[in-house]
Parts: sequence; structure tokens; C-alpha cells
Amino acid sequence: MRKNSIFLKCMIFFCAVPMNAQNPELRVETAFEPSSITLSNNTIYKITIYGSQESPLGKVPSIPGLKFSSTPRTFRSASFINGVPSVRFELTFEVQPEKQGTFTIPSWNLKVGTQNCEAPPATLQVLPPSHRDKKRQQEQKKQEQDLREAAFLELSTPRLFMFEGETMEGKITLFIWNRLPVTRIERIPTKMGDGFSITELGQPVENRNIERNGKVYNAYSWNFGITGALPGMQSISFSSVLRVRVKQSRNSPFGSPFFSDPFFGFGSEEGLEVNSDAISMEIRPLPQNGRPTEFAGAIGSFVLSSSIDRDRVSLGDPVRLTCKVKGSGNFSAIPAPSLSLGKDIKAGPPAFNFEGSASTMHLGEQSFEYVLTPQRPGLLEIEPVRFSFFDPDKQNYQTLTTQAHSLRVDPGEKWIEPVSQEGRIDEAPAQKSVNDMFQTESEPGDWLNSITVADPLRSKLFWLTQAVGLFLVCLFILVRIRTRDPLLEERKLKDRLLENKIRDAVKHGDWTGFYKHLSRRIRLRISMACPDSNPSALSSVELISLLKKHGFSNTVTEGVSQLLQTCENSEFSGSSESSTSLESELTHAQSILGKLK
Amino acid sequence: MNLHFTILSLLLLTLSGYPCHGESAERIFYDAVRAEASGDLKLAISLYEQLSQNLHSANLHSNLANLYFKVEDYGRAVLHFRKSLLIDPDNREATSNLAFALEMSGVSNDTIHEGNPAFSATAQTIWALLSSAVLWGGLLLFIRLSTSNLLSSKSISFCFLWLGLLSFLGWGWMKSRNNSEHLKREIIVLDNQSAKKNSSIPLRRFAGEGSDHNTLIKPGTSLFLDLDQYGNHRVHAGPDGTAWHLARSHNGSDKGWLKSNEFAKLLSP
Repeated sequence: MRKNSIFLKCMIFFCAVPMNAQNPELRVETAFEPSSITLSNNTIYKITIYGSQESPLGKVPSIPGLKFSSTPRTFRSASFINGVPSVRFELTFEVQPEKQGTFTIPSWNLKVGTQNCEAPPATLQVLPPSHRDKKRQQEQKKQEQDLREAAFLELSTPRLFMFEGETMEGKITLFIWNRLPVTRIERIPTKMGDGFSITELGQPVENRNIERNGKVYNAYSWNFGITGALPGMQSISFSSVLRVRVKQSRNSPFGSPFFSDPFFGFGSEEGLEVNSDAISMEIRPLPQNGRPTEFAGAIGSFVLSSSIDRDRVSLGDPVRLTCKVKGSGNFSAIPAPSLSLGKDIKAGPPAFNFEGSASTMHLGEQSFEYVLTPQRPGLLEIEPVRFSFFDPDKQNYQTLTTQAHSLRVDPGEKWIEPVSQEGRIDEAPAQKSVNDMFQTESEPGDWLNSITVADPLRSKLFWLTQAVGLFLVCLFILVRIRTRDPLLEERKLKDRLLENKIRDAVKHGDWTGFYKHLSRRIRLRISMACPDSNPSALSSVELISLLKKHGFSNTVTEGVSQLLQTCENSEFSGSSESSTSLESELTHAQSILGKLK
Repeated sequence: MNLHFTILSLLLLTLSGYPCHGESAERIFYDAVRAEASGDLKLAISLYEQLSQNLHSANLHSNLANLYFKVEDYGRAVLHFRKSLLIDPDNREATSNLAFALEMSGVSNDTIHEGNPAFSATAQTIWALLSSAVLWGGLLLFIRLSTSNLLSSKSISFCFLWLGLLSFLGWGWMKSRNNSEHLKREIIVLDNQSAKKNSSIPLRRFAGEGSDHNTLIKPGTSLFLDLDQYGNHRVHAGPDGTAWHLARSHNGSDKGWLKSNEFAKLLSP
């Protein structure tokens, strides 16, 4: 159905509430904007209804060679012109020309509310494509071709027909151009087409550096089993999605991020859908002629064998009969062959086991294991197993038969009640003698009121220890706060700073600095030792007499006097360097300062 | 006079209600030893059991375990050897006897989870006191050093050392405490006095007599009572008033419901 046959009824569903103030005189205008275009461009067919905002009902005539968009855009407006209200309703369709020429949409009728109106004719001139248009089209085609070649899927099957229910092994290969910045395969190939069922795709096989179309590709191949489900001509294709890094370009000429840069780039990720070409296959129904009664749906090429695990048993003992079907075909749909064993042998349900290509279930060996129970003693015969299948290559039915197996069944023995597991555990004997192993104590020892594990959190001793500890810590902190002397603290801080400066001076061999800071430190220490004085304002002689007054020994006062003298000499004469090293001077000074307490 | 007589009578009556204290307890112990020596094992067991209701000693439980062993009640023998070792962990004789009792009952020694003795339940107090001493001692030393201006750049090393030691002691305490909590939940499976001695006890899937069992446990096996979300033992009262307890082995491989007469706790409630 052509899209340019648009029923404007659909507009009813998305129209807004029309204005109540309707102009009884309706006027309809139609026009192409622009009215002249080249073949590669699009235009707009605009219908303007003056005097109403109601959605119109009607049908735009279909014009061969013009393709109308299916979703028109609407626009309502209301305004006052010289105090007179004016309302308007606009409906626009995007029109794409399919051939060049002059196209005229004839006058056509539409209904607005209860009124019938006539849309005037409109003419569009489509000119042949210009050189620029042609170039642009070529570029677009080239880029589309590049994109198709950047990543593509290739589906291959052994033949282009199959029988209903037959399983073949197919292969889908995803080729990715090695320059395509693919971050990951977002969706592995998925089948499109209901005429087939396929097995689950497992892990792909990766092949690198495969050349196609003059490019180098990385190929990822999945093998799968494909089974024809519906007879007739059926189409199958695959689709996959890759995550590709792209540049965000608003100037993309075609609105697709992949076209913005032929080499893509670094930016955000986009999904790139990759599709394979569709393959049409004929699914033929199985022939009815010559169908054996044992046929149960097996299609392929098979070999049958059977074996029993032992040929002589006692009555009641089980025997395992294993039938193996080996070859290629629809293993997933093959039922177990039915056995015709008679009354002498009873068979349980078979156990299935497949060994082969688990992903496709097409090539391998299917074994059916039956547990047979002989019902009477004597020489019994297990009848041959028959298995029928349809061979799609020879296109006929085949029936295979195994050999018969002889089984000798001896009469059973008398049943002996087995010893229970529990009894055996309990009766595990201990052979050691217990005599004289234990010594009985004749004294009771220390009595306890209970056997418990002491919990320190419930012990008074523990909490007493905590209390004492906490008390001592609080006491120490209180004493520290009470005995704190801010002046003394400040002096101690200064003393530490001076000590560091003196050490720095020793480190750098700065004799002047050493004696300067030493002099200040001596005075500071004297002020700490004699709190009532102000040693910074006193001369060396006065300081010595102050020390003597506070009862310091002659050794201390003489040492301090000597140090002060050296400091003054260094300060006033500048001849500070002596034969001794600064380290020894520092040691000597420290010993004297240590006594100034 | 009458008043004094009444008080004296009441006092004597009260004292007679506690036969297991002081000299009377020792008298019962000696009676049990004599009963055992004379071959009356049942009487000796009943006397020891009567005594162990209120008082405990390593020798009492050791003797009782020996008696249970002699009457081939290995579950109870293991229980009382374990109790004896809880009171006196250094008792070598009890240790070797316990190993023998376990062997006789067919229970693996691995079912007894002992772990490192340094972190045993009984070492919890030592860890706690050491932790306290280091905590408060370190704080006091820290204050003292800061007062005497001895605190310098080495104080950071001191802090790290102190914190490290404190963390280690705290970890040891917690480990020991966990073992203690574990011990409180430990039970010993007992022979349920059925016709067959030392028959295995079923760990039922559901708390009911007719329930199928997950596994069979030999008497003497050590299990642990399960706790509910509130930290209480998971107990289910049956329609006949039987209390069922959910218990599991130390490694959690065996789990099921036991009746209250099929086990005994190691520690006093």
C-alpha cells in the first residue's frame, strides 16, 4: 500500500482541543514549499486552513512519482489582526520525488467540522539532478558501500534444499574490518525467518587477517545445526549488532554517526546492525512412499550397533543392552528404537547419551541404554533391534537391524537379608582392653560450684582495673592542667627553638650565629632558673652575681661566666673562630646549661 | 528457750537440705569410691551424679567418666572427661583417657575443636587484663611524657607501637572470647538409653520423632547448638512437651534436631 494515500482521519487522535471561536468562513490553501526542486531533494506539501483549528477529514490524492511521508506535522495558531481574532491550522507532509517532471495535485475535498471545503490544486516541478546532487548521491552510495563492507555476515549451508525435520550443519561468519573500532559484539547473530529452527550458537571460532574486497578482516564463525520446520520455500538470514566507537558530529550529512568519519574515531559508542544476505531454501516434505513402520523421524546417514554387558546372569539380575546410532543427522529428534522382547525379558525405559558435536547435535554417536531383566531361567534371546531413517542424499528410507544376543539366565539364589548400614556402624568393635586403663582418684580435689568460663566483662576485678586506670588518667590530666604555667611553657618553647637554631648553626659552621643564639639561650635558662629576674636586661657580671645569689655552685657560675665571655667576644670583636670545633663547644655549653635548673 | 530450739531446728533442717556441701560432699565422694571398689558401679555412678548436680571437681568428673566407660556408656564418659579437662586442662591422664574413650566410641578426635591454647576460652581473662594494662599504662605514659617535655618525634613511633600492641591484645581477646562463646554452645551427644548400647543418634531433619534424619551421630560426638537471630538457642517444643534443639557439627557438615535427653552441655547452664 502506497504511503502517499494518507487518511487524515488519523489526525483526530493527536489533535488538540479546537478553539471555540471559529470563523464561519473557512478558507483552504495548499502549496509545495519549495515548488521547484531537483530529483535528489525533498519538499513540503502544506495545507493551511484559515478560520478553524479543527482537524480536517479527507484524503490527499495519490500522485504517481511522489512519495508522501506517513506522519504529517500539524501546527495551530491564533492571533488578533486589527482587533479581529484569526485562527489557522497547518498540516505538512514531506514529499520525496521518485522521478523528474511536473506534478500537480488536483483539487480535492476535505471536511472541517461540519463544513466541506475544497483544497486548491498545487504544482511541483521536479528538475533533473544537478551535478552537486549527483556527486552527493555518489558519495552517499560509496559510504553506504563502505559501511556494508566494514562489517558483514556470511551464511553458508551445505545445500539449498532440505527435508522437513532434517538437520544440517550451517555456518554463519561475521567479518569485521580490522580498522573498524569495534569494542564488542553486542548481539551475536540471531536468526531471521520462521521456516527453520537452529541450535544455540556457542563460542565463535576466530580467524584473523582474512582478505575480502581488498580489505583485511577478522572473522568470527559459529557452526550451528539448522532444521527445516515448515515445508515450502523459506528464507533465512542473520542479524547481529556490534558496538562501535564513533565521533559525535552534528554535521553528519546523513544523520548517521558512521558516515561522519570514514575511519570512525574516539568518542561515544553506537550500535551498528549487521545483516547477512537472505538465503532462500526449499524445505521438502518427506515422501510417503516406502516409509517403514519403524520410521520415527530420524533423517540423516547412520550406522547401527548393539551390545550387552554380559551374556550370563542369575535370574533377577539386570543386563544392559546398549544400542548405538552413529553418523550425521537430526540426533536431537531421534527417539529410542522400540524393542520387541517378548514375555521372557522385561525392559526399562532407555537412558540417552550423545557424544559428538554438542552444539549442533548433527555429527556424533547417540547411545540408548536399556536395562533388561530376565523373567525366567534358561537360554533367552534378545531380539534384533530395528532402526529406520530417511537418507536425504539418497532420498529414500533405510532400515538397519542389529544382531540378536543370546543370554543365559541361571536360577536365582536364596535372598539374604543385608546387614543394615546403621547396625554396622554401631557394631564397630574396639579390640583394645580397658582393664587398668583408668585410675580412680580417691580424693575429690578442689570443689567448684559450677563449670563456667570466666567472662572478664562480668568480673569485678576487670571493672576495678578499668576504674583505677581511668581514675589515674583523669588524675594525671587534672594535675597537668593545674600545674601548667603559661610563662614557663612559653620559655620552654623558646628554649627548644633556640636549641634548634644552635644546632643549625653547628651544622652550617656559623660561629657568629652559634654564639648569638647561645647567649640568648643562657639568658633564657637563667630566667627559668631565677624566675623573679629579667636577665635580658642584665650584664654578664650582674648575671653571675644573680646566679650566686640563687645559690648556684662556683663551677656553674664560672662555666656560665666563661660562656658569656666567649659570646660577647664573638659579638663585639668578630673573632669568633677558635681552635676547637663547634660540636665540642656545643657539648661544653650543653653540659653547663644542663646544670642551670 | 522454745524460740532457741525452733531456730536451731530450722537451721539444722536448712543445712540438711544441702547435703553436697563441705564435709557431706566429701563423704558422698568417698562413699562413691568405696562403692566402685566393691564393684557396685551403678551406686557409684548415682552418688557421683548426685554430687555433680551442685559441685564439680576435676577428680569427680574424671572418676564418673571412668565409671561410665566401664559400663560402656561412651557418650557420657566423653562428656565427663571433657568436663574434667575444663577444670584441670593439664591433667594428662584425663587427656589420654578421653582419647581412648573417643576411640572406643568410634568418634574421631577431630570432632573436638581445641584450637590454639593461647586463645582458649579460659585465656580470655588474661587477654582482657593485658589489654587493660596496656591501654591505661600507655595513656598514663603518654601524659607523663607530654608533661615532662620528653615527647618528641619519637612519640609517633611510640604511638604506633602502643596502638599495634593494643590491637594485637584486642584481637587475641576477641578470638578467645569467640572460643568462649563457642564452648558455651558445645554439647556432647549421649546414648539415649535405648535397648542397644551406644547406638547412633539421628540428627532429624525436622523437630519430630517420626522425622527422617540427615545423618547418624555416635554418642560422644561434639556438636554445637544453633542460635537464632536473637542469639538464643534454637529450641522447638513438641506436642508432648519434648524440647528439640537444632545442632550442627563444628564444620557445619552435619546438622539436625536432637531431643534434650540425647545430649548434655559441657558448661553449667
